[in-house]
Amino acid sequence: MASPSHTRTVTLKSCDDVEFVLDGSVATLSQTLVSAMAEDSSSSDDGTFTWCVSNITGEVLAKVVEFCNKHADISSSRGEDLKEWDKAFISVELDLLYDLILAADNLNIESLLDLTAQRVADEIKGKMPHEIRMLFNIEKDFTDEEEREIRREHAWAYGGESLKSFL
Amino acid sequence: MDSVFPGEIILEILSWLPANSLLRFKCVSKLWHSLICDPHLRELHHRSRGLHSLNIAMFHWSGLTLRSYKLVGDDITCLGRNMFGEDQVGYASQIMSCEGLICFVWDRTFHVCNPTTGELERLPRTYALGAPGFGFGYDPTRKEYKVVRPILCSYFDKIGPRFEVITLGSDSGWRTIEQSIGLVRAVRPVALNGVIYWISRSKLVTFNVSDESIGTTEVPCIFKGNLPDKVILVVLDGKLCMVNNVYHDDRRNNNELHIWMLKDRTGGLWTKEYCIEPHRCGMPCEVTPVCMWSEKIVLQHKGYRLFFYDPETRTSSEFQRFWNHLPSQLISNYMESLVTVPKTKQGRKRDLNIS
Repeated sequence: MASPSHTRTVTLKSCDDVEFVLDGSVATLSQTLVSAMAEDSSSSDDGTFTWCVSNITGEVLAKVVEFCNKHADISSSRGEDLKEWDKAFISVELDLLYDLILAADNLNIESLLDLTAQRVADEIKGKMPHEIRMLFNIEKDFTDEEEREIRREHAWAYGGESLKSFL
Repeated sequence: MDSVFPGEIILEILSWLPANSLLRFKCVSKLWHSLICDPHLRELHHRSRGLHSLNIAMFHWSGLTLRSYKLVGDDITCLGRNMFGEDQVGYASQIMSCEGLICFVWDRTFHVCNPTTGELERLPRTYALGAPGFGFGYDPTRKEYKVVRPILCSYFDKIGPRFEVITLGSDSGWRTIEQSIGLVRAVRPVALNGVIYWISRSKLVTFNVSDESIGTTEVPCIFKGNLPDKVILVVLDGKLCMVNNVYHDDRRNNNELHIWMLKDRTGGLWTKEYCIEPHRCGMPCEVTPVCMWSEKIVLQHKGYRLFFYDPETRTSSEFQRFWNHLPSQLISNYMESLVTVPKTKQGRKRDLNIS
């Protein structure tokens, strides 16, 4: 049985066969990898571990690895700097953002999941229900009557008018 | 994107959304509706609390309109509703907020409202002669809200030594609690971490919302035996504060607000944390602190002007937008939350009749 601390390197393989080699300590950001390594009894004595992620492409996995490397590096992970870095990191196209959030969920990386979910939330918070359906390909399964009823119940939430900057 | 997110990821995203967006998104689909109604989301949602939003509820003089303002950075959203129908007018008195709900008195009846969702509940009437200065607190262990009001003594028209308490959502109605600590002043108390604080003659009278025990807390040493009449209590930065408006003798508009902060409750350690000179930064003398927001102190003046004071630079700016509306009467900050207002038996019966 290999524990993360004994594993020196982890090789991540994307669905399109791109490989990434991570330091063992970096891999511990992913709860999925931690439990996979803990369960793995076939780990070779040289302390390497290989994990295939069947539904993440190399392009997305590259971003995930970039994130993990940054966040595992204690010396650079200080408050404000890291926040700035995260902000720049997450300024990506929506399609990549969606893939990233799925990858963060799949690999169970909490800090990446928070960051991506928060970015999606910022993106959608001002939108109307029909815009949300369009954005996420959601089929409307309420009848017009039901939708009106729910809207009536929460009329308070539709009344918001955004006022301009005041300071 | 060719497929929708699984429910658990949608839940993650929803947990970062402001409450009014969540309410709006209830009609996106049945899945979204059930996720937003899920109590688990309410727990998760508390994480995004600290995302720098300032929520202000205020009543306007006309038609008892409650307006709530939400400020995030420089962005303001205004939610406004006439709570009691167009034909109702009147003045609400004293507004207290606690864990996402606000409580106020209108038409001699206590009302509890969630300014985020607009949900409103009327509490049972009480006929005991009440005094101004009711408290509204939350017991985090039992997840219960309580309204506590000091009762006037029938003989001397003085306040205390009894309290009347009601637990929201319980059917036991108003209960009387005897106390022997002493009279409390008829000014607004504050609630913090499950304790309600009133100012009494020389101490603070405390009411523990969980076990309903009554006790006292010391005031700053400088006030011992001589607590000025006009001190008020406020919570800033999660700490209990006492504000003393000190006028210098020479000129009427030359005053200072001394803000004392209780750093350690058990040790009774108060420190003078801020000293604000209103006239030096363009504020009227009678400003009173409301809360902290973005490292600034939010102050109100007569219930219709709001100022933001920066303790670092000792400058202030005014929230201009209130001038565009009719003057309001009461201002309170509140925490945005999806919590439902607990209903009494009558309230539940009313809901049944409607549906």
